[in-house]
Amino acid sequence: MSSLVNLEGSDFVGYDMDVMKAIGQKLGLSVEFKNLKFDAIIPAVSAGGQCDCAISGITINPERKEQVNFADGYYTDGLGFAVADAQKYTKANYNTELNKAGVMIAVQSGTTGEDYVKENFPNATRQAYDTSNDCFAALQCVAAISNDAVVGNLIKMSYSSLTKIDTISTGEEYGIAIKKDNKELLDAINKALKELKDEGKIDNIQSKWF
Amino acid sequence: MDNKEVIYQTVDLHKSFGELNVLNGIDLDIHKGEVVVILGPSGCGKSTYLRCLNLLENVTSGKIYFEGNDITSKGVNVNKLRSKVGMVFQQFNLFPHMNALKNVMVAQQRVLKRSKEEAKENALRNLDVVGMKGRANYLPSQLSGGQQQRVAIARALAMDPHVILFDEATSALDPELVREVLQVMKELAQSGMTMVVVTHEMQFARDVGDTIVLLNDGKIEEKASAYEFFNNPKSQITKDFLGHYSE
Amino acid sequence: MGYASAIKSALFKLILVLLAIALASGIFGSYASCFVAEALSTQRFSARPNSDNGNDVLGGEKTRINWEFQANESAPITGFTLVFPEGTTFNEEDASVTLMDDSGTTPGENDHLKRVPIQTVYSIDNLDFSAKFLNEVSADAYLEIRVQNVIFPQNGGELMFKASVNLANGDIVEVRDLLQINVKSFSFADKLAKDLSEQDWVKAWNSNDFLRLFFNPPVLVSSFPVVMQGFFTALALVLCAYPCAIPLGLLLALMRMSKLRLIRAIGSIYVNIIRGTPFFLQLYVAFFGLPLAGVQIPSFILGFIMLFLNSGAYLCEIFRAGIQSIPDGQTEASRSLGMSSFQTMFFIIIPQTIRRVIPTMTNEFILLYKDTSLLAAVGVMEVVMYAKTIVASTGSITPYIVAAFFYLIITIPLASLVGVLERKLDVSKAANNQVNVLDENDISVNVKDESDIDGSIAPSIALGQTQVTLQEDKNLQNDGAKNG
Repeated sequence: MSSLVNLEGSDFVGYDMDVMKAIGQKLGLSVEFKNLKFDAIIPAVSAGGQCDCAISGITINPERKEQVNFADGYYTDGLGFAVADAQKYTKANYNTELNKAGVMIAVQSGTTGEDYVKENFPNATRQAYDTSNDCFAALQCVAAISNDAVVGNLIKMSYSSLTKIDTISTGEEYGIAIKKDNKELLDAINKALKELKDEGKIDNIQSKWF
Repeated sequence: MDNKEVIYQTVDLHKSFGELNVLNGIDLDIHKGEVVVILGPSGCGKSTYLRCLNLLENVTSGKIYFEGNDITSKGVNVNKLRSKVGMVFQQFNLFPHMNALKNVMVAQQRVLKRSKEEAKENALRNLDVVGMKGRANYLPSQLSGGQQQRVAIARALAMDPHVILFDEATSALDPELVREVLQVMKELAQSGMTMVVVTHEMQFARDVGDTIVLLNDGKIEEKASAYEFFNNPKSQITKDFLGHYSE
Repeated sequence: MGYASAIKSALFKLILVLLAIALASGIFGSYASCFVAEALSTQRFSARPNSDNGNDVLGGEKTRINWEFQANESAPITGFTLVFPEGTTFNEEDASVTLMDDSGTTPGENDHLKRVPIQTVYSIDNLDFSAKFLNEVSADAYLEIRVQNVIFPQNGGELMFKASVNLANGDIVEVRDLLQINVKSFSFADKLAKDLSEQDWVKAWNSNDFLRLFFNPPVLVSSFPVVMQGFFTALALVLCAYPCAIPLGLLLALMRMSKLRLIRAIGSIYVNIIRGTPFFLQLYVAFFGLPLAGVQIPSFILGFIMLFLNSGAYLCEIFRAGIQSIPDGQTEASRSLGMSSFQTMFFIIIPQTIRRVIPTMTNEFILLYKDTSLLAAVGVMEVVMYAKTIVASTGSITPYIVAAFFYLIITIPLASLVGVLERKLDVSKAANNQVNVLDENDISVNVKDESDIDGSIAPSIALGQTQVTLQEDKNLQNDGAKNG
């Protein structure tokens, strides 16, 4: 599982959870978490009612900005590139070798990884899966791309036959999504985030999880 | 009658369904050209006996010989036997997805391997015999009960059977439709067809039957010529049975 | 050793430079321009795909360009000018210059993972996008330049950028790397979507949260052709799998009714496992388990196989129930004519069964078609998969509504067909009562022509009727067996 959100017993733990809890503390609010499928999160925030805001490794992008507001980024994503055959695909050649017709690259649907493959490996075939775990389970793909920390973790825990060949910094940031008309919450979260960053608390949480 | 060729010979036939003994030792010879009418109160085993004759029921013990061959022994070609023994059911059992003509043709083609033309010609001839040629293209659902039963008789006839078994062929019919079926059966008897008829129609038994058999509790209570049976019954049970019907 | 390699690399560089000079002087007269051609080397130059699906960069839609380069070690860069292709619009909002520095996690190698924002002042003059760095940048910087909100011309094409960099020594140097982006022309649907989004009524419509989320007109239009690709995949899958599942179902039904215990057991186990577990789990096992076992099957083929195997089990039970609903009298009549059990099954029982189970079979087709959506989870590009991809990247639910349309377009006509079939059964029940009282002289019953005699397909109006009479038949027959 990812380091962003994990299920430990019946509690959600992880980097995202800690960031949100810290923000809640700043605002003097208690945070109640609700688990949704990734592709249901933005619609849920946008529709309102179910939740006030969402944190789940959501990359800030222009399409999503049309649906919801984003607080300032709280984490800059790095992508990990894993391959099944590390002899054939190396850090030196994968940018050209994987960008070929017939090459299948597993991505998690709706993530930065998917966007990155779209932009940089347009000739390859993208196979989108619901979770990063499924990307790795699907061995019919020659490569899988996901959040760097997730890739490292999955290889260590379950998929020792795969090799991480590169890490890419996309510079794209994860943001907390907030319903468009809830300006107060947006400002409050941004203020809290700034304070947390200035106090070094975000860095602390990061070093705890990554 | 005794000098004629025996078609069916039943020897000490027993049949039971689990604990229930339905036939308790039947001995009966059926001769070529003979019309045997089997009477008896309901539950006496007369339908079961008929169904044993073409092996729709497996016999429990005893023997049945058909044209001299033991058909209760193992390894008997059941399909070959049945192709020679016609059966007409109480519920007609026409094939609902085929029209009358097809109903009469299908077994000719599949079992006797007759060509389509031959089967069709033969089917139309037999439908004519039962007065149903004009309705050859009708589906069973478009025919009355009497008409369906006549098609069913034609279906049996088309196989050129050595004997036809009638299992209460008119019991499911409305009273006004019974006559047309009995008329066909009567004509069939007059043509010399060997017939075993399970029925409740006393008048038919009296007019058409050569031999009348009264079954009671899975045994033959009385067996006699039609005249003897109706005019001079020996057994008290027969007398009671006939008395019940004459009321 | 270190000394030797330093000489070696210096020599190598010298040769390279000389070679470059020799080459460049042949092409260009200017010494300066050929020297600075090496001021940087582009690592990546791309635009963010902005079509609803696929990898296409569309004209007429917002995108973001990304330019990464490795600066030449001898000439620190202080700014740059990027000349956009004719017809492109852009602004400096959200533009960024980032130094990709070594994070230090991998010793001996610059991994470019540490992102250091460079303070930059931008200026725009027509197609020229100029930037001046406020921070000092080291000579061997690896820079990433991003410009957001870029809209390429709608006609698309292989668009060329030009660029130059300002060096610390005051030189302005042209960049000679190929800076090209292939822009696809705006599709009809995209154009329609864009036009729609500018309409006042659409803006009013979208001001309602519910309508915007579920029925956003521009998204509806732009996702339609994309989701339609999945529709064809799903349709192809089910049209391949279902006809194959029919014989499988029939075979399994016959196995389950076999006299041989072993055959019966095999059939039962198969059917019970398939029907007793969620299709979703079966897909997981097949799609993730088989590759582990070394079996590689393309996902469309595997999807087809799984649908086929699944539907076969369900059809088996439909056929079995259908066969068992045919009264025993039919079998007895057929067998008493001398037909074998095989002939009876194929000429008498199964034709009647098929007629009787057509409504249920149609329902099974509908279920199977809807089940193709589960294949989305294992990466088969069908309706839901395409819709989900768009939903995940845009956050609008509207593509799911489009997906729903592609299900309904199949399921509603079929469901109404089932309704018609079922109504016909009822109608024929009523008709049957009439037929039964028909007099022999009554010729109002329709007479079919000769050609129908050989056709084994009876009109379906006969369906319900036979069902009724034969059902009674069965009851009577059962009574008869007990009594007779």
